[in-house]
Amino acid sequence: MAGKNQIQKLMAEVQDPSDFPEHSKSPGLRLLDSALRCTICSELYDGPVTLKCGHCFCSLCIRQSLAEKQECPACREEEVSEGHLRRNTVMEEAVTAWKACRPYILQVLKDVAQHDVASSRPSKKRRLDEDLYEQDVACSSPEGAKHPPAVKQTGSPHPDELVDCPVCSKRVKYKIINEHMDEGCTSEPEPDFSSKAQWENLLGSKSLLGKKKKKGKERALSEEKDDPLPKKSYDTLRDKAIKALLQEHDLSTTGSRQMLIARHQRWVSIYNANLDKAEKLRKSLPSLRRDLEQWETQQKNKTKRPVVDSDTYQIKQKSEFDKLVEAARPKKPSSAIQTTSGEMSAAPAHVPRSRTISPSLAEKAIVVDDFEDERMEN
Amino acid sequence: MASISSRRLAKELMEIKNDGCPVGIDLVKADDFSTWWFTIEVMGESLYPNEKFTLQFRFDQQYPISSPAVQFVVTDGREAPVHPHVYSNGHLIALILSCRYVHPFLGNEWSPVLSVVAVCVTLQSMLASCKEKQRPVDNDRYIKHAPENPKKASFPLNA
Repeated sequence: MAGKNQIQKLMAEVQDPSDFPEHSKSPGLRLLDSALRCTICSELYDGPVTLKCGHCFCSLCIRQSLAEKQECPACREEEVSEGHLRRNTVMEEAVTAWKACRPYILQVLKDVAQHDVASSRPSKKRRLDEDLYEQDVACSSPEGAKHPPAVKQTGSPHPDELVDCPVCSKRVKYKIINEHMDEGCTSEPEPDFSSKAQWENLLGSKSLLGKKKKKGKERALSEEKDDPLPKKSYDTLRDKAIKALLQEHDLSTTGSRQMLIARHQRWVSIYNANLDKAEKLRKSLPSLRRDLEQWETQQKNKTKRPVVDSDTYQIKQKSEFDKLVEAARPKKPSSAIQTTSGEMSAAPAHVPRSRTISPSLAEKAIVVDDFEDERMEN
Repeated sequence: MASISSRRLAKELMEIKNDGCPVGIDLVKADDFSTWWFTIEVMGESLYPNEKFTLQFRFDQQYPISSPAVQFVVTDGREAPVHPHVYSNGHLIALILSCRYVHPFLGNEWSPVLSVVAVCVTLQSMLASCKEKQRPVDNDRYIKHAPENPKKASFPLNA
């Protein structure tokens, strides 16, 4: 098993707040690093969103969590749903900045520790900490979210990049933004066209994935860029309809109905979570598809393993099975005796009494099911 | 790239290695991302002086969205504590289906912001607050038919 090596390797590679020295040596740095991390995945926020109660999570994390249970994982406030999620753009900026300076700060700390010059150390660190502290305060204050998203930090955008027109707030290519405004924001079709072109750009690598169905793709292309995908009630949909949904987004349509549903659900989550990120940080659709495929193989690895060696599993577990079979057999008469002794005839007695005395039949069923579940899920 | 569950577990392990476990809780083994063992003992006045129990955690790919499967280890001479919420096969009464127990701050269910150590602490305090050493009333019935994984158990009485 790769277990031990894998765990060592991963532990060496993951970053966490303990990369920074403890509080007494570098006040606040650890706290800052953990404040910028999602409490579900413990990574730095990826597309942070905030719930009604103010708690913040990665968009994808909280979407998964809400699918399990509609409550805030941190404070258990109830009746929250994906509709309550609000992008936390300020947090996103803070995380982007932190990601950029994290390695630098670690390097500085290392240098400081090495030189250990008593006089220069406190002052240098103090300055850093103060800057960071301010940032931390800014992003954790509840009013934070009201600040307008800051302008791009560096240089001007690429000429082909879409920018918001400051007058009509339509999306216009940066290179023609001046003409656009000069003409009184009349150059209508341009933004639409260019967004389509951008989609084509993004989807250009379709040969990579070897997809079919022109029609579905065109529909996907014409979709409004920022619209989240609606959730579907799969129970009302036939397999065919679910496959059509998947095809619309160029996703695989193989597998059982259950897999189709799981795949589409996951896609909706990934897709919508991606929209919660700043445009700059969003992933392209092909890379979202790769994420989905990766997720699916991860699921499969886990589910497949026991199935693969089901024969050896059965041989190995034979004694256990036999024991269970043996345990199950003599049970019937004895439980019948138990219930009949409860002054009623055996058959109907099972129903009302099953809650208090051994509901043996039902439980046997559970035990049997369990082995199947085990094979499917583990 | 490793899965979210592995990365999250790696971080929890880091934290344990760096900061250590709370008093009375020790990591026994965590060689992979599927099964971890801890020992817990109750500190101070309690019904379990000098008793040490082993807790087993099992994780699936959905961790931390889905709860870990938690139970006491009852093999190789290890025993489950005698407690109204602990079956003699090591399963916990209240860790029903999706594994839940009363957490001092978070109510009674698993939440993805909880961690392995948080569960250990919760169980430690469950033992510490025990008033009477006894097995659950339906112990015999339960252990006869209990599934191997406590998360798959159904509890008609306690659900």
